[in-house]
Amino acid sequence: MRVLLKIEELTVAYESDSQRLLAVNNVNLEIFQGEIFGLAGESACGKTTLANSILRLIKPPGRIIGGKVIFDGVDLLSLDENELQKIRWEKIAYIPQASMNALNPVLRIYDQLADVVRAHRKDILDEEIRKRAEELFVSVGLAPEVLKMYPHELSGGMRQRVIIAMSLILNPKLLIADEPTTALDVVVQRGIIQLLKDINKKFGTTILLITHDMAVHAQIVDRLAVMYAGKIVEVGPVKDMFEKPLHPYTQMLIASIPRAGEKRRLSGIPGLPPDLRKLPPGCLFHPRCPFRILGRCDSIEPELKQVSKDRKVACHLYDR
Amino acid sequence: MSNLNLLELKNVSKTFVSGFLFKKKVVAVDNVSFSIPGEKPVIFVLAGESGSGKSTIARIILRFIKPDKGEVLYRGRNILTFNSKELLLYRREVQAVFQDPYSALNPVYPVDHILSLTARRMEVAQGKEIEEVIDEALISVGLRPEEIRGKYPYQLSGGQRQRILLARALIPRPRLIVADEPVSMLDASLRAEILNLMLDLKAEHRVSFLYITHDLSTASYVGDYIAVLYKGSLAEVGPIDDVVSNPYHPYTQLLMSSIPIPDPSKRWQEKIAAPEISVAREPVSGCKFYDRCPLRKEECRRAPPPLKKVGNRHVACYLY
Repeated sequence: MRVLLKIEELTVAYESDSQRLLAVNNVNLEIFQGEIFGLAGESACGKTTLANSILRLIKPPGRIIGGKVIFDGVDLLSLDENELQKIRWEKIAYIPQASMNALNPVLRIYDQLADVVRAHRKDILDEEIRKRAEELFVSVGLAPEVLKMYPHELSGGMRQRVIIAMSLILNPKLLIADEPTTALDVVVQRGIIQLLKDINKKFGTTILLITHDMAVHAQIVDRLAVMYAGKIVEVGPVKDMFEKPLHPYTQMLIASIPRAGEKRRLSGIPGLPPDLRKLPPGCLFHPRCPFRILGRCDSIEPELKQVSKDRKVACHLYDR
Repeated sequence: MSNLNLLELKNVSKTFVSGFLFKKKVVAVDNVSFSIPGEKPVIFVLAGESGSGKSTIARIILRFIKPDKGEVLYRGRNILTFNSKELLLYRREVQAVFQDPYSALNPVYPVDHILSLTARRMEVAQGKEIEEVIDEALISVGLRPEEIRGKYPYQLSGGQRQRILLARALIPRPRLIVADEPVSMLDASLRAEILNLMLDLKAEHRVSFLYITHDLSTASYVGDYIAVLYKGSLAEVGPIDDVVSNPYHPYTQLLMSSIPIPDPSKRWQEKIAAPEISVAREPVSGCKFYDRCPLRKEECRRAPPPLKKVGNRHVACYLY
């Protein structure tokens, strides 16, 4: 498997005069070419900050304080703004959260799409853009007439398809989608999940899918990483992780999801994620962990270690 | 027979009119009838996608707005004819919890003050008793009064705030709590705990719930009965386990098959047709699901299908 994106020891901090909190805390990740990679975790665990830092979209008071983001052999964090501009949208497209509500209400869809293309390819002809746009719209399940419409004429699901078509217009290698189905109804959500799968197959686009919804991950991703308080606690093939989650947090997260038609009593996760300004010593999950080993979990931080061929976990239960 | 019902809606309709010169009519609720049985406490789910009229029905039941047509009977009596004394009694017995626990609490008061206001307004208790009533309510929602008293809403987590809202709803000892998307803003681990709390309140405090949601997995976990809305009309009503495992109405079938199953070994195999490829929408005089229905017939266009009794449930579809 060829590694398309490699994140090494990435740390992102939000800073004020008196305090510093680590939203992304020493994260290591590899995303293979052609796969759909899922990033899971609950609110404020650092998923979106991690996505933003890949394209260096972190704004003050946030700051990348260390690490590398290696895309196709190049460290994106070392590029200047001009060089990075050529990567954004052309090589890596990003669909931020709720971007379907960010379409310009006074421009027709086609004009917004053409703007994107012209910003990156100065010499391209109008006809070419139109042809490419029409083809792409059919691939994402939209009628070409939608190009002539305004955003308010479209439903939420259609706007999300427009956004996905826009993200693909320059044929990127990597598509980062942050909560792309979260505000949608289930039927529409299913259509979007199907669409992302189709794009992955048809165009070979590698996808980084970020969502808190474990059921969506189960339906679409190949490999999954679970984040907790700014750290990756477990990575592996999604089937194995649902079948036999290793990290107690992953176990409890999966046990807390209701399944339609099942009445087995769900267990939540007692307690709350730590205050990122005052991290506990040792494992960040130990205050909530039912399996914690006193004298170890509360003092030594577990590293993300390989436990089998394709699985990694950061937990002292698997030390040997 | 109908006296046994806790709450009954009879042919309730509500149309909103907007615009100044060109009046635009939106039929939010269209001839809806269902009843929540009163023999024992139940969780009755009102499900539907956004814009299906779920929240409008909640607002009609809570008497925030009046329906254009139809009756709402509470224990056999029309709530629209209540005088102020009867209304106070009704408001004690029918309480509400809303979606956003972050905005439903006044930020300038400590939460015990907010709770004491409810106790006073609802004339539940006076003087010293108020404190006892508040402590009791806090304990029933799993909070420790000594930890919560004196705290301001911003000092509490989302899950704690939603518990406070449930505690407030419990103070007047209601028979019915209308809960409009009470867990949709919470993380999975907290969501499970609030859902369990609803089950416990039903069993121990004998409170019924009208649980309004778009999330069918949580609905099927806590619910006893379900009413499925589509564009303001009921598609299907019945015992939730039967409706989930064997939906009759084609819309309910589509809905149930679109719930993502949190298990990577049970992925969707076949595709659903992208429903929104055409944009033109002519007003339908017959079944509202006609343009998306895979099983439509000519007669479906003519008149809206009535809600008919089929076995242990009610279905609005000409197939039955």
